[in-house]
Amino acid sequence: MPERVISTHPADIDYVRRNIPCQWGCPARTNIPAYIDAICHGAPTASYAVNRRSNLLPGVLGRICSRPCEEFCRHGDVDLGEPVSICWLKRAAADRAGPDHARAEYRLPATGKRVAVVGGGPSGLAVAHSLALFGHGVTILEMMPRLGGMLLYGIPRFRLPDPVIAQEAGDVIAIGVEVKTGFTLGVDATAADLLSQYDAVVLAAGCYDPYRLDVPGEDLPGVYSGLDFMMRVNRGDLPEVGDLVIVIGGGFTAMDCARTTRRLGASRVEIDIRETEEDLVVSREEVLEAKREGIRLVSLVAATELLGDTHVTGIRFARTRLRTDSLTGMKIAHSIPDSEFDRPVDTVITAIGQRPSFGPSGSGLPRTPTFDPETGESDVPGLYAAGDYRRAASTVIQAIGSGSEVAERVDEFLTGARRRRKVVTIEPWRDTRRERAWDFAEKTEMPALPVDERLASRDVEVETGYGDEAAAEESRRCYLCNLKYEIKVSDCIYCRWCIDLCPRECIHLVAELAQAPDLRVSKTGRWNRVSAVVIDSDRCIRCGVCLRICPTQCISVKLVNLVDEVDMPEGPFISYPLGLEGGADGR
Amino acid sequence: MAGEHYVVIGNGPAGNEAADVLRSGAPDARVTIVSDEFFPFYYRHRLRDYIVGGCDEADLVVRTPDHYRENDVRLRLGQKVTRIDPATETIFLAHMEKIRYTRLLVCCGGTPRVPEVHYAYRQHLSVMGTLRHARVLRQKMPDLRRVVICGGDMISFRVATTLATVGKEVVFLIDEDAFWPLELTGEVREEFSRALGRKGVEVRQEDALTGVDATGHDRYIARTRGGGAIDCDLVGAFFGFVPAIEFLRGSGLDIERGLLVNERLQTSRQGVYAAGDCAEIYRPDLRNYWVSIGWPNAQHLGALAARNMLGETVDAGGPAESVFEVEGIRVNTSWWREF
Repeated sequence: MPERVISTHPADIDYVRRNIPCQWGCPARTNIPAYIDAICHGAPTASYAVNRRSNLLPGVLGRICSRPCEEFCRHGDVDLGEPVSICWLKRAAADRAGPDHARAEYRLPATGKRVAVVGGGPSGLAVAHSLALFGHGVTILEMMPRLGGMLLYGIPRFRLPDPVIAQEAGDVIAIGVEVKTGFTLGVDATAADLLSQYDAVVLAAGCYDPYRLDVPGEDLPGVYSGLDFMMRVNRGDLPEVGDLVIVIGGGFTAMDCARTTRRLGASRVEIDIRETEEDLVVSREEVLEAKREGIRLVSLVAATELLGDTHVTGIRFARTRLRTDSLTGMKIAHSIPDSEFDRPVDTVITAIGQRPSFGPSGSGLPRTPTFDPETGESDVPGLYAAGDYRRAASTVIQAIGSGSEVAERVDEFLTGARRRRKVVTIEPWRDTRRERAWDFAEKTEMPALPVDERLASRDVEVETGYGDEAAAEESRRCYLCNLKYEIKVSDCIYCRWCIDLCPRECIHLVAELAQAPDLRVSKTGRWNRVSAVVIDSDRCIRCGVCLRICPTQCISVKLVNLVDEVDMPEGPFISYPLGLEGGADGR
Repeated sequence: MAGEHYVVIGNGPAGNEAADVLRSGAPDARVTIVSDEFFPFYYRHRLRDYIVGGCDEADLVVRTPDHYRENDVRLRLGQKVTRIDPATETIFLAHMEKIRYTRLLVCCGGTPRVPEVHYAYRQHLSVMGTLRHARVLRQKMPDLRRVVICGGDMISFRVATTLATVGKEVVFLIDEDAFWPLELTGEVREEFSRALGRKGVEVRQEDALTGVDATGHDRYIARTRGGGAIDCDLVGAFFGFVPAIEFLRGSGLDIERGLLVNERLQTSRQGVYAAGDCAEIYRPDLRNYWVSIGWPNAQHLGALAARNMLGETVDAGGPAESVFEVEGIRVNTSWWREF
């Protein structure tokens, strides 16, 4: 086998999907095993660099990511404990990264093309960054005085400190992105105006138009939309919330609003949702932190009316029952007849999502453009949408993943070629880099301030970050699913030592094997019927015991990475995660 | 009913009552009880005596294995269900075995509740819900001098007074969230406090646990909201029970606090039922969902669920009457709603 194989074969991409589930679960396809391994081996700057190539804002995401990766982490299998704290390790890398972490980036030669990116939030920053790397001239047009979008104005400082946003947004524009603030789409220029001035326009203006409950009393004083509420607080314009607060909605904004009202003096705060806690999109950690701060979560209720004359004084709710939609399989909450009940309240915050808007003047185009929710392309040449603007309010990591994808399409539109693509690299590897004692280690909790200290200040960060030892300890829990174990059956003497010692019964003597559509094996106990010895990678925890015990050394390890390949003038360049070796870049 | 395989997850009062009804209603069917505990069906209320040596493990047993043999019920002890797949009517066990069922009843009961405010130091808190917990406490008993108890549920009062009776120093922290799931008036709370005091328990009203530091092997400092730092050998957390349904997440069943069931105790998936402390039902008269508590309720619901599994149509209706008597104080409660 050659030193390193580079593959674009769908089967190899599919191998990554099935076997490195955390990376595939990340909308930005962050190479998670590589960056955790770098932390484990004392290379936080390299870890940060691996992270930043995909998700651009590791310090931000290490604090507020919705963690779709952890949902897929093999360590979360029912008999293996809890998922690795991938998000918190990202922060550990960011907290320790050296000052040069953002400098080593490939850049393609200047193309002379100009692109306007409307919106300086996470997706706008991701689009701008990628397009600048492709050599285009990029201008971010931002409505607010500073870059950051929802990060800065929609998320409370106790979850995401201002300097972290400033640092990482600054790193993005440091590669030569122009920024104009105070620009409002549909006021200062329409989409049509921008298309006449630039070679391409990407709308990444987020979602700022809140959905309404559409129930009586919604316009009473004391009723806020969640986003407006957070933006007011983050501007320092603090609303009076009283004692009893009910937040309607179950997303991140709802959680943020509820936790913020506790810091504004509310003593009894509830989050009320139509479905159940299990259906929430926010991470379990986020729900846990809200509850630790004394916030109650009430499921299976729907507001039917907001009560009061001159100010909201109560909410009328109906209980709901879940039904599964036969077409979509989605659970839908239906109000139960005659189940209404009233609750007193001083402040109501409705946080049920937002939608995008072209602004007061509309798009300026002959007809309103439509966007492909998958690709971000519109039916108007050169006009694209990214992030929340593309497919309604989502998460920061989805916005960043979306921004990078859209940038590749814009580049293709401007240059006529797809110049960046995902490839799989496969190469022989030396060892497991793991010790058996780490296999079932328990999760290391994130240190956090006691509740009374949190509530004493509106801005003090709640999570204080892993210390060095905690970060190392947690990083050791990663099974490094990017290592692939293989058995060369021609060298195997069927001693079965590996099978006897395997802690998860994932090695099988097989008489027959069918690879497609799923790996199906017909196991056998008789050596003379064995046609293959297979390792079930889905169950394998990469402990390495088989490798070490094998008397004939017929077990080998390969390192599999899903990485970007970029067409540089001097040939293809692979942004390879040399974090494993302690370097910061693969060139 | 030949060919039917009724599988019951849980070996408590609901599960056993259901198995009895299934056995008599379907003599030819297979009936299997699966439990992750290794010990046979036992009386939970005797655990408080067990921890101080007032009775032995043999005295806890409700039914011996002979009972199941005689009634042709397959009892699988020490086998943990890790997930269920209603689409293929299969339950998966931790040791990688699969069991097919035609009707499934989940009555896996509750697990001790630790409120989120105490999560940061939950590894230092002792809970009591099962024999396994009781064995740990019994083992520690000779070395216990001072015990701090926080929370306050049915078990806590009994454990506190039992410990005081055998000469242990017991400090009971009672805050506004104590007595869950009961919503007691200030007067009744006072009465509880006086009753505990008469038994030699030191009651600290309106104080709450805010932290626990380990200072050595089984040595702790319990920190309280009132500024107290209590040197102790054990911190007991008694905040009631919540449905033990973590293993059902991702199975497609509707879950809120408990496993959501309709009036006939059927879950959102065909052929899967739930009863006892893990089932949550909408009650029109309360305009709310409720989870029943107590041994008689569990038996009542287990029997109803089994009848529905056999093809009858029986509504759960209201819970059976449950009156708890603690230190001479009678409390009538049969369910809890929210926390």
